[in-house]
Amino acid sequence: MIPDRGQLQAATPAELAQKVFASKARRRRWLAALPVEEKYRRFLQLQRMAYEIKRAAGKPAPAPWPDDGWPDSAVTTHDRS
Amino acid sequence: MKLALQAINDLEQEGLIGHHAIGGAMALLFHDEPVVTYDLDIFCVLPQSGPLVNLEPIYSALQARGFRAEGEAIVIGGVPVQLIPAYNDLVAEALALAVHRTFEGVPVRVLGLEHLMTIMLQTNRPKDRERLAMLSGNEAVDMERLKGVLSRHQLVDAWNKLTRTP
Repeated sequence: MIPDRGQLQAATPAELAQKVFASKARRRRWLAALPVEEKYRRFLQLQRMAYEIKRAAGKPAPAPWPDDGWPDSAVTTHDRS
Repeated sequence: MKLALQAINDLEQEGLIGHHAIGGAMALLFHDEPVVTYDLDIFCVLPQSGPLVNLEPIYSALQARGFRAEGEAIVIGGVPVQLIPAYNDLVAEALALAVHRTFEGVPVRVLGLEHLMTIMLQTNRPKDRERLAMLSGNEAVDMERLKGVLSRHQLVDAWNKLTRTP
C-alpha cells in the first residue's frame, strides 16, 4: 500500500525521516494491538524468514515452529493500517 | 504452541508444577509486537521435597506422553519448552501477579508487562536491553506499577542508568 502523498513529502530530509519514523512507530503500535493469535501467526512468519536468511548465509538455523495448521495465506504483510 | 500450553496446564493440574506463567519473548507477544524467539519459557513454582530442586519428574512425565527432550528443553508439538523455576523474589512476585489470558481458547497466565521489563533489566543481556528499548514507546506500560516493581527489587538505579539520555 502506498502511503498518502503527505507522508512521502517534506521540506527537508530530516523532516521526511521524522515522518518515516513516526509511520514506523504507528505501525508498531498497530502490530502490538493485534489479537495475540494474529501476532502469533506473524511471529511464525518471522521465524521462517529468519530461518531462510540464516540458511542462505550458511549459518546454523534453529528450526521454525510448526504452524498448527494455519495456512501461510492467513499471514499478510501488506495490510498495514 | 496450543498443544504445549495445554500440556503445561495439565502439569499444573496434576500437581507436578505449581503456578506457572509464560515469560520471555513469548510473553511479549501478549503485550507488544512479535519478536523472534526459538523457545517457550515457562516460569513455574516447583514443588520441593528434598534438598534439590528437580525438574526430572516433570521431564519424565512429559516424555511418557511422547514428548522428547532436546537439551534442557522438552519439545511439545514442535515447540521447545523450557521450564524455569522461580529463581528469585522478583520472578516469584511476577509469577504471583501474572495476568490471565487465552490463546486459541486455552487459558494461560502471562507475566505482566512491568514485571517482564524488570526481569529484562535484571537479566541485562544485550537482547534484554534491545527489547526494553523496543518497549519504551509502549503506551500499555503502567509507569506507576513499573516504578513500584523497580523499587521493591532495588532496580531503580539500574533503570535510571539505562534510560538516562546521554
